[in-house]
Amino acid sequence: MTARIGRAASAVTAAALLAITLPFVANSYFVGVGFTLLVWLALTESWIVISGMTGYISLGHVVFVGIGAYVAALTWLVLPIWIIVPLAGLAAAVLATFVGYPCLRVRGPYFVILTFGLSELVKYIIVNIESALTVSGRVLFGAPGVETLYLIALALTWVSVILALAVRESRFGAALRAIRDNEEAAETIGVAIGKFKAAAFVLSSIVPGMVGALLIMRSTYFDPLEVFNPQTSVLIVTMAVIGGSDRPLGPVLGVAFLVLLQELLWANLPQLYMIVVGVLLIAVVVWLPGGIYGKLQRMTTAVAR
Amino acid sequence: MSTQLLIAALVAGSIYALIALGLNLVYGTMRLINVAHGEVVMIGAYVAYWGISLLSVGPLISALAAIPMAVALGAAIYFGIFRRAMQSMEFMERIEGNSLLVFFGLSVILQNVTSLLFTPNQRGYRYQDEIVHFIGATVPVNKLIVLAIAAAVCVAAIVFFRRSTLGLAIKALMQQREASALVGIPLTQIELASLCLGFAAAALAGILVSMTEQISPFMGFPLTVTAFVVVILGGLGNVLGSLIGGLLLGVLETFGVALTGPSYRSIMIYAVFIGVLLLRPQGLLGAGRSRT
Amino acid sequence: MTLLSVDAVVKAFAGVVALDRVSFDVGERELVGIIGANGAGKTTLFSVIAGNLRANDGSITFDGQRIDRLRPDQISRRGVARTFQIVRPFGNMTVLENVTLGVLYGRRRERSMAAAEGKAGEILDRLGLSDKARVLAKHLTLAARKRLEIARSLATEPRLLLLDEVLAGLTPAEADVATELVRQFHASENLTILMIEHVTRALMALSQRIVVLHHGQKIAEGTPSEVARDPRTLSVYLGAATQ
Repeated sequence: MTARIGRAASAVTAAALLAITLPFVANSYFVGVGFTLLVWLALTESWIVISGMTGYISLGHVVFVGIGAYVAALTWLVLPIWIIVPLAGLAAAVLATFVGYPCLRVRGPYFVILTFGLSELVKYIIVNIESALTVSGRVLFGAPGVETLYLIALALTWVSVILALAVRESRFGAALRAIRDNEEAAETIGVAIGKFKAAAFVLSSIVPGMVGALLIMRSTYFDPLEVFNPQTSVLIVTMAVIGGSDRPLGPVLGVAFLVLLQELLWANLPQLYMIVVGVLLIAVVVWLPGGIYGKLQRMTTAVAR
Repeated sequence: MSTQLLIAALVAGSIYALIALGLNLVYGTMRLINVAHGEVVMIGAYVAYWGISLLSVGPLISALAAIPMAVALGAAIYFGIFRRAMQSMEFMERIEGNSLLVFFGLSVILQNVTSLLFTPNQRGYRYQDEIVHFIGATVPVNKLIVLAIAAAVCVAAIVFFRRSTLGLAIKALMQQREASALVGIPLTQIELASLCLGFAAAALAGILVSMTEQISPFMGFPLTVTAFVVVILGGLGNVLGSLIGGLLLGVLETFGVALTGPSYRSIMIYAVFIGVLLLRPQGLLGAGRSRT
Repeated sequence: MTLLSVDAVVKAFAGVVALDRVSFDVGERELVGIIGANGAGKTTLFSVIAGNLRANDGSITFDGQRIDRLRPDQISRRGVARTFQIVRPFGNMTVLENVTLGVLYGRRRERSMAAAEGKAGEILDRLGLSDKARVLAKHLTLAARKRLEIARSLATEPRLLLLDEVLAGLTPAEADVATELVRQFHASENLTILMIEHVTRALMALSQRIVVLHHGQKIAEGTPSEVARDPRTLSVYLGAATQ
C-alpha cells in the first residue's frame, strides 16, 4: 500500500508544486480559472470518499459548502482567516457527525433523495434565520485577492486528492469498498458498517466546508440561496461520473472538461452549457460506465496487449 | 374559513397525488427514479399556455395534444435510452443510481431547452377565473375544475388497478418481476405502458396546474420534489399510498403554511420528508419492516 | 465444554413463526449437523445466531457470553463466522481481495494490508483457489464461489463456523471434494462447526451429532444413527434419511 500511494502522491505533489507558479506567470483571469478548477476538484475528490467508495450517492454535498460559507460569513471580521477556514471545515464535520449516522442507515435511492432533502432543509433554515435576523445578504469587506485564495485552494485540493488516494489504498478503503459491494456480507465478516460509513461521511465533509469559506471570500457576498444551490451538488456528481468515480484521478478529467466548457459557454449561453452537461451525463452513464477515465484505461490496456 | 383552506388543500393534494401516481408507476415497474417527472408536468403546462395564447384553445382541449406528446416522449426515452442500457449488466447493477443520473440529465436538458426557447420568465393565462361560492368557501371556478378532474382521474386509477387486465399486470410487475414474466406477462409492453401512463398523468397534471398557477421552465423541479415526498409518505411502489399521501401532503402544506407563514413551507415539507425517510422509509402505508 | 448455547429462541415474521423455542448446545470442536425440510427455519437459525436477524425471544450464549443483542460485526469479532446459503462474495473484487478482507476485519484485525494479503494467499492455497487469486469473484463458477465463501469465513479465524448448504448445487464429484475439505479443516483448525445440509449422506458421515428442525421446532437430536432411527424424523422425511 505505501508504495502505491507513494508514487501517486509524489506525482500529485509535483503537480501541485508546479501549479504554485501560476499566479506568478499569469494574469488574474487565468488565476481565477485555476481557482475554479481547484475548487471543483477538491469538492469532487471529497465526494468520492463517501459516494465513490461506499456507493451511497450523495446529492446534497453542497450542504457542507454552505455551512462552511455561513460560518465564515458569521465570523468574518471577528476571527483571522487562518482560523476561519479550518473552523468552516470543522463546522461541516460537526454537521456530518450529527446527520451521518442516522442518514447512512437509509439505503439506495432513499439515501440519494434524503441527502438532497437535507441540503434543502438546511438551506431554508438558514434563509429563515437570516430573515429573522433581518439580514438580507452579508458582504465580506477586505477579503484576500484571487492569488491568495488560489494558493489556499491549491493546498486544500492537494489535501483532498491525497486523502482520496490514501483512503482508497488503505485498510479503511477496503472496508468501504466491501460495503459498496455487499453490505451484509461486509458486516458478517466483521466490518462495523455504521461506524465506517459515518467516518467516511465526516471525512468527506471537511474540505467542502473549507471550500465554502474560500468561495464566499472570492465572491465577497453571502447569500444562502447561492451557497446552498443544489446545482452545485448535481455538478459534483456529474464531474465525478463523467471523469470516472472509481479512481481518485478520474475527476481531474471530469472537472477540467466541465470547467473549461463552463468558461466557454457560461457567460453568453448558460442554458446551452447546462444542456451540454445534461447530454454528457446521459451519454456517459449509458455508454461509458467507468467515465472518461475508465474508457481511457480500457483503451490503454487494450493497446498494451 | 377552514372550508376555504380545505378546498385549497384538496386542490393542491389532488394534483400532488396525480403527479406522484405517475412517479410511482415508473419506479414501481422498472426501478427508474424519474427526477425529470416535474419537467413532463412543465411541458403539459406550456402546451396549455401556448394552446390558449396562440390558438385560443382551452386547456382541457390542449390536454388532447399534451397527453399524446408526453406519451411519445415516454416511448422515445424507453426505446432510445433504457432498452439499450438495461441490456448491460453493469448498468442494471446500479440501475437506481444510474437512472437517477440519466433522468437528471434529461431534466436539465428539458428545463434549459424550454428556457432557451421561451425565456426563463414566468407566464400565466386566465381561464375560468370567475369566483363562485361553494360549500361556504369562495373559490375561482378553475380550482373546482382542477379538483373535479384530478379527483376523477384518481378514482379512475383506483378502479383501473383493481379491475383492468393492464392494471393488474402492472401491479404484478411491481411486486414480482420474474414471476410476472413466467406467467406470461409481456414485460416490455407493460413497462412501456407504465412509463407512458406515468408521463400522461404528469402531462395532465401540468395542464391542471397551468390553469391556476403561473408557469416557468423551472417550475417542474419543486413539483418533482413534492412528488417524491408524497411517494415516500405513501410508500414507493404503492399506488393507493401515493393518492392518500398526496392528499395528506396537500393538507399538511396548506394548513401548515396558514399557521406559520409561507416561508416555512419548504422547511415543513423537507422536515416531514426527512423524518419519514429516517423513521419509516417504507412509507406511512408501506408494509412494515422486520428488524434486521 | 459448551461453546454455543441456543436457548428457547423464537423468531417470528409478521405472523409466521420461523423458530419456535429452539434449544440446543454445541460443544467445542464438535461438528453438528442441522437438517430439516425447506422452510424448517434452518437458515433463519443461522441468521439469528450470527446477528443478521434479531430473535424475538430466547437467548444465545457463545463462549459464556450473551450474543443475541449484538451486531453481526461484533459477533464476528467474537469468533463466529457464517457462510450464506445464496453466496455473497464481493463480486467486483478479486478472490484474493475477498479473503484479504476477512483477514483484515476478522478476529485477527490485521492492520497491514501486505500482511493480510500474505495470510490470505495461504488460505487460498489450502482451499485450492490460488490459481484464481486475481479473478473477479463474480466471474467464478458456483463451486468456486462456495469455496471462496468458506475461505473468506476461515480468514476471520473463527472458533465457530456456520456452514449453510455449502454442498448445494455441486456435482457429486465437487461435493466429495468439498466434504473432504470440511473434514480436513475441522480437524486441523480447532474449529467448531455447525452445518446445514440437504445432502444427508455427507452430513451423516461428517457429523458427530445432528439436530432436526421441522416447522421451526426441534423435533429430534442425537448421533446420526439415533436420528436416522428416530420415529419423528422418519415420519417427517419418509425414508429420505436412509439415502
